[in-house]
Amino acid sequence: MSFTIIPATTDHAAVINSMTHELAEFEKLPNGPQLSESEFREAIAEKNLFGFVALIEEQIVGFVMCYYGFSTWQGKFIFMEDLYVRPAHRKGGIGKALWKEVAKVAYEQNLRRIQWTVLDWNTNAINFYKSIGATDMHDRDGWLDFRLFRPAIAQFVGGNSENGV
Amino acid sequence: MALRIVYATAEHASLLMDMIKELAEFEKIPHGPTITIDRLADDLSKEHVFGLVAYEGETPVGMSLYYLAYSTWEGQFIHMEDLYVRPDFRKKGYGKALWSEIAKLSKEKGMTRLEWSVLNWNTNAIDFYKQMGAKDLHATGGWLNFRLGRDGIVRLAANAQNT
Repeated sequence: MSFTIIPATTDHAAVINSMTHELAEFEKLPNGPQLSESEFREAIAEKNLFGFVALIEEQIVGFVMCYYGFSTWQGKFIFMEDLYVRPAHRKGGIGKALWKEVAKVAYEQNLRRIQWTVLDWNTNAINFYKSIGATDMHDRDGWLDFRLFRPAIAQFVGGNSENGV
Repeated sequence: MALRIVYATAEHASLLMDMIKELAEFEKIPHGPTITIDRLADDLSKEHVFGLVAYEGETPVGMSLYYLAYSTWEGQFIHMEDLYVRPDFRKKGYGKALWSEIAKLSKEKGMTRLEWSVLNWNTNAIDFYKQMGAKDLHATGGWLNFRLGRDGIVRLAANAQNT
């Protein structure tokens, strides 16, 4: 079945938000998504998130959501936060088409990179990424990603009230 | 002399660029930084990036640069891109003070996470991060960080729909 890809708008927020839950299930992290539909809509409205949806006969069958990051080495870049195609619509080129729309945005703005994360067991995705010429940044340079969660943020701040701005 | 931390403006771009290059040298990737001072100044004024500059008296001693990221699971958060203290000013708690400012901003904005990257050989930094309760996302969750560079972007974009 043929599909079309259009920019994501606030009208799509509810469906995209529920699909992030489907993606989280796939990632075996079903308790990950915590955002409400209205928070999601606001994120799109305020352009904190931007992206595209894939439609088949006006039904959303896939999406990609991104934001802009900043590298002190290469400037503004796109961080691809989520990409998902519903199981029934896979193997039809929709995933690659969504990727291409993101690449087009990066190209038109003359951005130097697109970044994203993937789970190390997701070999299908990893093979696709390598086939388009992407690099595992830990493999190449030894970069590790760290995260401080909210309780630890609070604890860290609690013990360190030194000179502030 | 007391430590003073200020928010970076476009006027700090040249100073920040010097420290970005010093940090890249430390990271053993000296050719990493390719942006210009003008571009950094422009991006600071447009809030594509935010910064903190640390002074001891009138002497600049360190900096941190960060951007606002967005998780489809938990909303807006800070990605801490660079944090650096000049070698002559280390062991004075200035790095921790910069970290505290970033963490304070995160807490005030109700953010649920703060993220950054580190090179796997930087054991001093990694030990500090673990002490503050931070998690290595690959070790704890299996996440890998991928990047597509300019050549890959050009190839992939060449066949996009609606071109």
